[in-house]
Parts: sequence; structure tokens; C-alpha cells
Amino acid sequence: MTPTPSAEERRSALALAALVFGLAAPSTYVLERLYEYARGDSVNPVLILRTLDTVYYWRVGVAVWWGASVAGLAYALLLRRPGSAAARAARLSLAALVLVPVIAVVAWVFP
Amino acid sequence: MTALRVLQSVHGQLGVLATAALLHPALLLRRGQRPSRRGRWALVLSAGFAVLAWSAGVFIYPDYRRVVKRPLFHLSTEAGLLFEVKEHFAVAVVCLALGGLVAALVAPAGERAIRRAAALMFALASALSALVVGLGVYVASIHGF
Repeated sequence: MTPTPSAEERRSALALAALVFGLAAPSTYVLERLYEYARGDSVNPVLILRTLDTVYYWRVGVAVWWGASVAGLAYALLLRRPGSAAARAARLSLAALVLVPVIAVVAWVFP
Repeated sequence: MTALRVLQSVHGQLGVLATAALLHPALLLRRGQRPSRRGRWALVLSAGFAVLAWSAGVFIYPDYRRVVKRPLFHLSTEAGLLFEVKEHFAVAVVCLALGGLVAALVAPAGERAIRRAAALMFALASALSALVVGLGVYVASIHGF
């Protein structure tokens, strides 16, 4: 049986899950954009002009929802597998240093 | 001077404020120290500015699509596409700032590494926000409300 996590462990897990959200939501947004490109929606500027403004709201909504879901999953996993929060934060920092420039470049290349 | 032009200007000013404000938590948390009560308020306000700037953009977005988007693409397709880039970056800024904010606020006192990671998130959000502001100014110089 897994021991009940302490209040401190819960707070660490919540903080790490928030960092996961910060990376998962924009990554999901960019993946949605890539999917739209693959579908051929956004290649032609004429099609971009015809795109409804609600498309943006939906894209953001889905990205935030999925980011929150991944963060919730990360929170549950972190509570089940206690470990060094410092090491996990360092790994997330590294992931941020790699992911954010990649997100920026992809968003620039596929506007 | 139309109301939309004023709102566009307010949106731009909020963006500049958000860029500067997001840099403050990055510096405040860089050593992983637990922020004071004032510091926590500063964190909330920084992320709040980012959310406010984005919300102002979302508020005028339907009018942008109706009034500006078509002439903008007609004048410069490149500028029109750069506006699309700007709106993608803005989402990343808000998500990074909110993630960093919650992490910095809830991390236990001894977990300095988590606050250092939150500082990095704020720094990246500020850098992206600066790009958003730059792109916004460039696009508005081509065609605005």
C-alpha cells in the first residue's frame, strides 16, 4: 500500500504539475496548428482570411483543457511515485529550455 | 480616434507592461528564495498583466477580423501572417506565466529548485512577450484600426 503523501509532498507535486501545464498547453496549441496545416486549412492566405475567429478560441480552449489534463495526470503520478522534487524541477527546466524555442520556431514557420 | 483604436492602444500598452512585469518574477525567484508577501503580490500582478493584455487582444479580435485582417493581408501578406504568429506566441506567454505563478506560490519553503524552474518559465514568458510586442507594433505600423 502506498503511504499517504504529506502536505509538503502534495504541494511539491502541485507546483511541478503547474510547470507541466505551462509546457503542455502551448505544446498542444502548436500541435493543433500543425494538424490544421497537415489538413491544408492554413496554407493559403485566402483560407486564413475565411477562418472564423472562433477557431482561435477553440484552439486555445482545447490546448488549456489538454494542458490541465496532462498536469492533473502528472500530479497523480507524482503522488504515487515520490521522488526528488529538485531533480524533477531540473528536468522540467531543461524541457522548458528545449520546448519553448521549438514552439516559437514552429509557430513562426507555420503561422 | 475610434474606440477600437483606443482599445488597440491599450492592448499594446498592456503588452509592454506585461513584458516588463514578467521579468520581475524571473529575477525575484532566480535564486529559489521563497517570496515575501509583497513578492507574492508582485507574482500575481505580473501574471495578471499578461492575462489582461491577452484578454484585451481577445476582446478586439472579432473586430480585427472584421475591419483589419483583410486590408492587412491585402497590403502585406507577410504582416498578416506575422499577426498569426503573434497570437500563437501570446497563448504561450499566458500559459508559461500561469504555470510559473502557481508553481512559485504553492512550492514548499525548502523547494528552491521548483522556484528556480518557475523563474525560468517567467523569463521565457517575458522573452516571448517581447516578441509579441515587437510583432504587434510592426503589424500595427502596416495597418491598424
